[in-house]
Amino acid sequence: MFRRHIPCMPYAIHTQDLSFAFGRRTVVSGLSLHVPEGSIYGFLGPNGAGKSTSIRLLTGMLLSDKDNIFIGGRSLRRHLPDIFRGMGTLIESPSLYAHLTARENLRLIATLRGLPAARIDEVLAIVGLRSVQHRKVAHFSLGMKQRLGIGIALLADPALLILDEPANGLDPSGIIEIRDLIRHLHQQEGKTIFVSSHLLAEVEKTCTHIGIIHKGTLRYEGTLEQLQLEARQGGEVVFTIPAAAQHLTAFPDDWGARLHSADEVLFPYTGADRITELNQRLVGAGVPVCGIRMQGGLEDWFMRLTQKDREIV
Amino acid sequence: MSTFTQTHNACFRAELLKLRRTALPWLCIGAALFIPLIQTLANIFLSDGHQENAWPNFLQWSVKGFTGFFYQLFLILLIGRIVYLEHRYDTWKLLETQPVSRPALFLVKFEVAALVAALCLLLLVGFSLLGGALLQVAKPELGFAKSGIEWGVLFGAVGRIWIASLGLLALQYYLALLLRNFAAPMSIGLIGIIAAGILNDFGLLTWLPYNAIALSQAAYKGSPTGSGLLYHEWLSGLWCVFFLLMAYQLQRQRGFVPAHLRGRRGIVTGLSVVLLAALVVQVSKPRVMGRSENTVIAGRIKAEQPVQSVALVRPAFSDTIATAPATGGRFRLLLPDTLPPGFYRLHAGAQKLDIYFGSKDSLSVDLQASKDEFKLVFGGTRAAESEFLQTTDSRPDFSRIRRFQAEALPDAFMRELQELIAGQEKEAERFHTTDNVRLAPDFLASYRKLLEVGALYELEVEYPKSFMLYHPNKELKFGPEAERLRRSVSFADASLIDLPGFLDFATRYIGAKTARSANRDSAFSAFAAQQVPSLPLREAIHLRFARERLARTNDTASRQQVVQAAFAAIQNPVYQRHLQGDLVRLNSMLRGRPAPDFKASAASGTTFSLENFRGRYVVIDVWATWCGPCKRESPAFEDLSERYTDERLLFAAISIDEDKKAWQREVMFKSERVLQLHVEGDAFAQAYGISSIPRFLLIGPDGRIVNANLPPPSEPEFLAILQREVYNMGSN
Repeated sequence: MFRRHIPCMPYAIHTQDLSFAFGRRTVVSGLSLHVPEGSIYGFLGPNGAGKSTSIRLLTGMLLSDKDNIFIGGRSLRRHLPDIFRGMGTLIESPSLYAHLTARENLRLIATLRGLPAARIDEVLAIVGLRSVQHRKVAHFSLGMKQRLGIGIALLADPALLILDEPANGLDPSGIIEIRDLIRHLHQQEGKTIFVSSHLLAEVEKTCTHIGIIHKGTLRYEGTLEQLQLEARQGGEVVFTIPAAAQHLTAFPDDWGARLHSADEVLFPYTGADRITELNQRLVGAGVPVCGIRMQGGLEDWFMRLTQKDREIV
Repeated sequence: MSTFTQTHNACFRAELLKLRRTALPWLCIGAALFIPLIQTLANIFLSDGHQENAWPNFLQWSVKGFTGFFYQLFLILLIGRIVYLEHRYDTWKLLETQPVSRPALFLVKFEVAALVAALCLLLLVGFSLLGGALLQVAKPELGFAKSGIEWGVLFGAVGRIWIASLGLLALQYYLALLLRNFAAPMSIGLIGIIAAGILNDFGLLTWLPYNAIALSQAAYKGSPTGSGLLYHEWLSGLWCVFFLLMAYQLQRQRGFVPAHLRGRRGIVTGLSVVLLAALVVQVSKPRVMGRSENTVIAGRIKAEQPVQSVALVRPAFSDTIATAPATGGRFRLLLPDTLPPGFYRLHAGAQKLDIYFGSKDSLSVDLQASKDEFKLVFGGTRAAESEFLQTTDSRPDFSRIRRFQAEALPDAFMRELQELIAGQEKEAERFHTTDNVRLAPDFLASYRKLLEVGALYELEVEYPKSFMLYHPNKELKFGPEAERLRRSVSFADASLIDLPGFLDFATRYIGAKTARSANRDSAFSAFAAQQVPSLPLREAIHLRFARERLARTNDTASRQQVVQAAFAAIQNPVYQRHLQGDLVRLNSMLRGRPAPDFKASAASGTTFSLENFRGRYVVIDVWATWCGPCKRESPAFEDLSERYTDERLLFAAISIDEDKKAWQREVMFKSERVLQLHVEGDAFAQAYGISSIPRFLLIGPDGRIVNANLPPPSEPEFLAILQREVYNMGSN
């Protein structure tokens, strides 16, 4: 049989030029994801960016026309539904049988997957629902439901978890609980976790890798460190100097100074050392520096990234 | 496919797990309990007295009561609930990301629904058996102990009803997946069941999947010819496969448009619908039977009184065409292949069956007539026609029009008549047997002719009377429609002789036309000669006319004249013999003729014949338990017997009941003064020319007829004749 190119890199998820359209409306286009094994991959994008569609494609709920999705190096298309053996998913709001108890929900999936009952107890312990296992899911809070959802995803002890907006709609303590659970699963259970979110702060706090999707295309992909670095590369340092205009002429041209407002001067960010150097020289020159701050961190960068397109459109 | 087999059982178990904590198990039990419970309670509190076939009837009512409506309702609730379980919190996405086969996930829902449906039916049977057993113990007078359970019929019906429910389940499964909520598919299902039921009553859209259960329920005993599944059950299977395939597409493609309309799937769906339509038409279209290799009527007749022989008879004058012995009730009548197709009558003992038959036809008859039940099953190429003739009166009744349209003007009357014909014809066209065999075209043509003759009778014989009464100053003129009706029945067509109702019409019609002539007989002959070009037809009409005339004529000389006059017009030797026979029989009932001998039995078992009455006058009351007028007369007869029985005069009552048990029941409460006798078969009635009862005969001590037709005993003339004849007392 003619074998297509299969990537030999140890990616937990890999897509090649993935596109999808509902009728004539293209929702995802040219998406090439590389999710390394052992990572927590934050899949970031504003609402309507194509995150959910991408995840539906990754979980085989929507079928891509081409054979371009690989899970653990295996083609998704050709290994459905077997591929789900190594994969746990939680898609959007938790889909649970509300008339059954937490334990019965787990038992149901354990039956489907042919898993032993002992695993149910383990999972209940991991997601911390042991004490309420005999309570009907209808009486659960959203956070408990979300945890049970993750528990169901964990049931077969898969190497890969795909979690779609697990913190969505939760209160702050619920968000922290989920965040801790994800970290725990990554560190203690050694899972690769692909987690989507529309909140940068969320992703920043848990992920090792980040992919940013907007308007159906991947705008960025890399490690968190790279991203932070890169985001700052494009950022600026803002010095607060009262009556800044008076001092502007005193700065050499190669500093690239630029008046931001009456009291603020912008310098391009080129590294942390540069800020110290600038500060020393300004103070040395008798310029009254009242404050220094970064402008255009990850958040701003993310905002700009997504804003720009909005203006174009 | 291997994933399917590997994961199917896990999916099935998971599907069953989901039903925990739902109301479905309780609904299943409650639904199954409802009707048997009501039936049992009704039997305990409302019913008393012995019931025939208590067990089979109780079970049949239970099954039919439940599957008339509640079962369908339960099914749409069931499948709706099973699917809504996933819709409610969109657990589809949970299921579809499990390493299990999608077809298995899809199919197990249907399987669980079908399983629960089967369980519900079995529970129904269980509860019914329980209820019946309770009644058998608690109320022995109902007679449950005296009847057995027909297990084959019971489980046959339940099994077929279950198969009939698969189409409905699959359709509702499809709707539940399409509409993705609970109320909408439920409402459609409910409306579907009710609407289909109403349409079915009009014979419309009977192929709808909503109808299958009702049709299976109606055919509780299944195919009379034992051909297993009935056509609507096959149809249910067809619907089931179609809707499951469509529903799977719908589920896979997430939406009606991508599943059924877009691209390649649009073409596949279109072709499937066309194929389905073709198959539905093929399966549900009533069949017309083909021809048989030879012309034969065979079967089995089981009656209380063993049948000795079976005869095929022309209905017009009861001419026997062929006879076959019936050994152990079984008979086989091999007939010539030249037998013209038409209406015939089958005589088997006391049973007379109207059939339609002809060359290269086969007909099997299975008749079981006992006091408890009457079961008649036809098979063969003319099964549908013969069955139709049993269920429908082979003489269409147009008398309604006489009552309600008497004052109508000719055109309105004609319109009404045409509507009646069209209505009856449509009914015949729509008729089909449980095995979905419809009436053959040649029969439908004959039946139409039969309807036209019936209509013509109203038009030509009855309507003119009303018209003269209500519109005395007008001239009776019909439009072209009436002319068309007149022309459709041709007096040149000899085959009309055996068309039920035709000879009646023809003699009445000619009789009416010649009623006011000076010499009615010659006017009749002249009219017939002029208007009836077909010789056999004319002879038959003459025979019919002459026989009626003869029955009304009281003295031998006049009778002879009637026969002589008729012979001028009747050359057919068979017809001549009929007339001669009538003459001999009528004359034999004359005073002084030897009374025909007969054999009768008393309740004790002693047999009597005419010889036993020698030396005494015997006055005989011929009656039957089912005859109302007889029962009104018999007290008067008994009163007279109390007063007048002596060594010279004996009072006897002869019952001609087919059902001897019925007679035995009655006879216990009759006067002991009257000798109670019973005769088997119709030999006695034939010998004495008895065409109606009650009939009272007086036979002399020498075994000769004194009076073969006494007035009823409630009239004083009866006693007067007795006194005059027996005691030579003058009537005062």
